[in-house]
Amino acid sequence: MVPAFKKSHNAALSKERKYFNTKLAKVWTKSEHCIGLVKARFQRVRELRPVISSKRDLAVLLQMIMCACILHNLLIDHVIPEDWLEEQAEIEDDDEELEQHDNERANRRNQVLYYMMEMH
Amino acid sequence: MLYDGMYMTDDEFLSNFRIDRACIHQLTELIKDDEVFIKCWGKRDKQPVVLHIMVFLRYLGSYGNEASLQKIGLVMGMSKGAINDCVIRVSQAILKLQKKVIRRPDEEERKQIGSRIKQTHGFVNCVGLIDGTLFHLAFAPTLNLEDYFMRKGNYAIKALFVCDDTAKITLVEIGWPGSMHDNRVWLNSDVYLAKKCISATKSTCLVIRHSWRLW
Repeated sequence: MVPAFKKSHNAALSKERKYFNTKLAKVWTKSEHCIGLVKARFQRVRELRPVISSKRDLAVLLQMIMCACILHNLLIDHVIPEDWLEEQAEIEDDDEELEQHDNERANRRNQVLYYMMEMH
Repeated sequence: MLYDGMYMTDDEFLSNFRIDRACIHQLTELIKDDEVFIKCWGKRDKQPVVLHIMVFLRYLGSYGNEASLQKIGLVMGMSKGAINDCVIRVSQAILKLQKKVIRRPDEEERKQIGSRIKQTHGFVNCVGLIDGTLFHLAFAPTLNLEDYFMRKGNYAIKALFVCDDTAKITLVEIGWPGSMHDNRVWLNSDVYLAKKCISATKSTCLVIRHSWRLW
C-alpha cells in the first residue's frame, strides 16, 4: 500500500514529496469517482431511509447496497450523464493520529517515489 | 412503458429508471432463469421478469420521499405489497451474481490494470485504488445508535471500496458502523486478514489516502 506523505508540524514537504502527493491525488480521484458513480446512478444509497432497529433491518440495507454495487459493475460500460454527477467532495481531515510507520512499509513508498523520479 | 417511445422518450426513460432500454433487456437475460421468478404451484402467475427489473431499478434510483413504496406503486401501477415482493425477488437474483461480478482480478487482468495505471499515472505495480465512504442514514438507528454516529455529525454505515482504473469495483467491504475509521475497517477486512495468513505477495500494491496505516 502506498499512502501520501504527511506534513509534519514544523516543516513543509520537500519538492519531490509534493510531486508524489499530487500524482497520488490524481489517482485518488479515480476511486472517488467510482463511489460517485454508484451514488449517482442509484440515488437511494445516497441516503438510507429505513430505521435500523434490528439485525434484519441492517441485513436488508446491506443487501440493497450490495445490489447497487453489482449493478454498477454490470453497467460499467454505459456512461452516466454528466448532470447526474454532482460534487460530493468529502473533506478528509488529518486529525487521526496513525503514525505507526514500519520501516519496511515506509521503504516501499520511498521505492515508488525514487522510481517515479527516475521516470520523470 | 418499456417499448413505447411516444409515451416516454429515451431521455425520460433514462432519468426515470437510471439505465437505458437496451440495458434492461441485457439485465433480463442475465437473471431471467433464476428460480425466484418461477411460478409456484397453486399460486397466481408472477409478473414478467422485465417488470420486476424495472420496479427494482426505479426503487434503487429514487431518492428521498420519492422512494417510498406507495409512490413507486403509483408510477408502476402496482400495489405497495407487490412492489415489495418484486424488490425482494430481484435483489435475491442479483445477489447470486455477486461472486461472478465483484471479484479479485486474476493474474492477466492485474497485469493489464497495472500497465494502464503505470502509463497514465506513473505508479508501478498498482492493481487497485482503495477508498472508504459513508452511506448516510436519514434517521438515527434504534439499535446501538452510538456506534453509527460519525465524525460529521450524523449517522452512517461505513463501506470500503477497492476499484481499478476503469471504476470497476473489485472488492467491497460494507456494513461497519459509521464511527469506525477507514483504516480500522481495512485492518478488519477479509482480504487483509487473509493476506496476513499467507504472507502478502509483494508484487502488488494499492493506492490510498493519507492517514492510512501502511500495509
